[in-house]
Amino acid sequence: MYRLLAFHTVRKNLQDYRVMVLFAAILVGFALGGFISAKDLQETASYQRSLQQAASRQSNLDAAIVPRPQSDLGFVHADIDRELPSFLVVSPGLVDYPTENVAVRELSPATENLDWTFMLTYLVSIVCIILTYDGVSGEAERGTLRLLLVTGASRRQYFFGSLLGALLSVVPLLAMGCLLNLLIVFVLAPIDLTLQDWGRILSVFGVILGLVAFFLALGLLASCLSRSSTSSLLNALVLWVTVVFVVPGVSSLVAQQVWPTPPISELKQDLQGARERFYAQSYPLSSMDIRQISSREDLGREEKEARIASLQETIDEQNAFALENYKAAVIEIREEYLNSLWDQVSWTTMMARLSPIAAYREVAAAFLGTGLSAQQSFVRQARGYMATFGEYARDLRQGAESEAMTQEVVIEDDGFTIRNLQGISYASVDFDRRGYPRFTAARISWGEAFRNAFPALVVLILMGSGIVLTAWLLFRRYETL
Amino acid sequence: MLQVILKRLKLNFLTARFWIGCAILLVLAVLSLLMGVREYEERTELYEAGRREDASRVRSPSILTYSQTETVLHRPVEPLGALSQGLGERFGSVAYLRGTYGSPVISSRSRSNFLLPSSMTTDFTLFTHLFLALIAIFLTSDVISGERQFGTLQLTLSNPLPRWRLLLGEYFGALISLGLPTALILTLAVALMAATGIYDGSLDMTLKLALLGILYLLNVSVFILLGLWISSSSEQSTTALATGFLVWVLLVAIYPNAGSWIATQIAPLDRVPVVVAENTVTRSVGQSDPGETLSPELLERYRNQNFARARLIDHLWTLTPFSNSLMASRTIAGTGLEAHRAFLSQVRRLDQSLKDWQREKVLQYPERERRFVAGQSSLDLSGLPEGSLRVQPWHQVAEEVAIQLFVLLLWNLVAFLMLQLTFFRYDIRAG
Repeated sequence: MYRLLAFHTVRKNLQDYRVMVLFAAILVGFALGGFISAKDLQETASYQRSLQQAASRQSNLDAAIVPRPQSDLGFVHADIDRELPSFLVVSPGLVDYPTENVAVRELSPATENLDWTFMLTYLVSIVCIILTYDGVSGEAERGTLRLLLVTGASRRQYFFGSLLGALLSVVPLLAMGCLLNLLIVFVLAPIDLTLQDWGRILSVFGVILGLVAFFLALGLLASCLSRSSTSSLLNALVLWVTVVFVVPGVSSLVAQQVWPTPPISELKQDLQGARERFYAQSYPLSSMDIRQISSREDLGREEKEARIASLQETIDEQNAFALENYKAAVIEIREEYLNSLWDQVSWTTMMARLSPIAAYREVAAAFLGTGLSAQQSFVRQARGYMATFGEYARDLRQGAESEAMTQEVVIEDDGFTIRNLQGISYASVDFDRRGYPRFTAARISWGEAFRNAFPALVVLILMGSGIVLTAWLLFRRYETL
Repeated sequence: MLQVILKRLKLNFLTARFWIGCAILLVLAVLSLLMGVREYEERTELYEAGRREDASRVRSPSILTYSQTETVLHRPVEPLGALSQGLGERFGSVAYLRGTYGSPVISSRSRSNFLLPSSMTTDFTLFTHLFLALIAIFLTSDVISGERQFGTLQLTLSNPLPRWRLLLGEYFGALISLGLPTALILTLAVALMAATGIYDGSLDMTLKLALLGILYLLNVSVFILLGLWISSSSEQSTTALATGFLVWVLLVAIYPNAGSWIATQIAPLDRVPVVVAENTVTRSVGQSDPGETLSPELLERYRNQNFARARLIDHLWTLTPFSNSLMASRTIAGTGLEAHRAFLSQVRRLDQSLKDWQREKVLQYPERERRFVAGQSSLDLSGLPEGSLRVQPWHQVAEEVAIQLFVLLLWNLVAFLMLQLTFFRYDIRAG
């Protein structure tokens, strides 16, 4: 009976010209997406190369530039890879984002990539609800539902049979579209997929199938909610708009209101404050210091030199102490700021899970190693690298101290000089680059990817089964007259 | 015709979809309004504080040589930015100029979280345009096909009522029923802005708000006409509804993205971080601020590319009603691309006049260019150029927005004509 009902649904769908037009649109979309993704992948590859070169040229004893390796699987779900900073600046004690220069931001509005997710969000999901919105109310309107139910099909058989039928009408199409997209990307773009990559793509495809089932059930739910097919279509469309536009939009609004990030001017003020504390703590050198010694008549030249040397030592000691404090303060301020950004991100992500589309995005990003999950693991790995780099730089810095002293105040009088160190930069120190520690980012492992995806996956499964269950319960009490 | 209008109004006010749509619209409008106003207040506070601080710093006695002189240009906070953020704060609103002794640095007073997608910046105009268009489609797309299905269309037309008058009646009925929520949310916006002191009742802002009202009306009208047209092109009301909805998705979600894809193919843009990384002087933790590190030539090239691409997207977005309304709202609010360009060109002019001033002063006091010797008097800062920017006045805005309004009007006319032509041949027999 299940089979009969499922095939009945498939046949009905395939005979509907509206559905066929949409199917054709989906295939065209996937093909177009393949071309755009392939071009994007080519660009990304060349960009990664030049970023790598720039990083190795620019890295020095002060800080290392660490580029983020980008996933080749962006054509499935690119997430916000393009918008996220693509490198980090690692210095001993701090992993930081490049200071942002607003003048070099892309002026145009941010757009989504034409990847599988885009097709799923804006086309496939609509097709799903269009396939099922009149599964119950339409049949009831025409009177065929009653006929079916008296000819031996139970309600359960009818409900799950038509859900299965709708799934069977979409899945081959979806598989075809994805394969077409893959084929185009594979031929045009320089990518090399390992067995593991195929596993990742397949598991995302599995999640996509789950989401498709969710939208089909959503259509059936809307169908069970009303008596006429017109109003059930309206219900379904309103539910779609809520899931795709309203919930993610409102959740980000709320998250930004409840966990606001500090404005950049506050950060600047904090940094300025730290700098002022440094000035207050460092030695207040003036020309009087040197004159008091050099103008003493009762001291010989050597005596004066010794006194100046001991004064210099005192100054250096005090300034080194102040500088250490200053560094610690800057690290703390930057870390606090970055933490507040990440806090907001995690709250926004959590709020967005109320929408299955957003939850799906999170799962796909975690599986494929794109977007925020990749960024997070990248920061973690850069922290590991920080220790190696710190050790390496410390050794080399000790040998190069005299070259590296900058930003100092020098006072001369009568052939004597006193220096007041205000900061140390090793950026221009020459050194043998052969031993420079290399940063090699590891892909997120399967276990970690699954752990990252787990909460959103659970939410997705719960929501999916909740919708199916609700629709089924509503249908059990549906008036077939 | 009046009766048709009244009938349509009554029918609309009786349907649940109208009220549900309006309720969602109202909630989103209020939420985004509150957020916009809060953001405006924060930005204004930062603007005032920044201006005070910079005004004293620029003329502070600790500036001892002409190579240290600088001037600062603050872009004022646009009051209507509370409704339409646009480029707003994201692309910089303060310019620090050092004339001959350094390239201009543009920074923003506040910064959004760069770890969140910027497509999440949701403001009042986005939400309201989105949902007004949706309600318009939902209300109208089954008007004609639905009435045909029930057989009432044949009945109505058996009266001495020409088809075009029936259409006009349906159109005005829908326009009035949608005009009410539109007026409501706009009044709400004005009221909230007046309560918080953003709206000062000046002629300038009133005229801008009037322009915004016209824009809303034109946009809603396009979607009503499109809905009616779709309805008169299909036989079943469900087909009409589904088609109308797909057209809505196409216009609000797919086309705006496609515009960017097309623009990227035609006018590509270098990926930013390479430009930055090649020129970044990496900083040590011990240095307070890395400052401007891009070479002026690269920055210039990048800026040109950036503007070319953004303008192309603007043009492409002007072509369809929803994206057009978003663009036009930005233009009216003064947060669009042109306003940003005006800010940048003002920066350039001010930088040039600072350079001229520095040259003049250095000729006058050559010993004070870079060296300071103890005992010298304080620096002669008379005539230091200071820039000030004003929010664009309404006539300038009207000039800029005219083409966008014209395109919307054209959409209205074309959709109306198509509607008339299609309905003229519509088979009204109930099926």
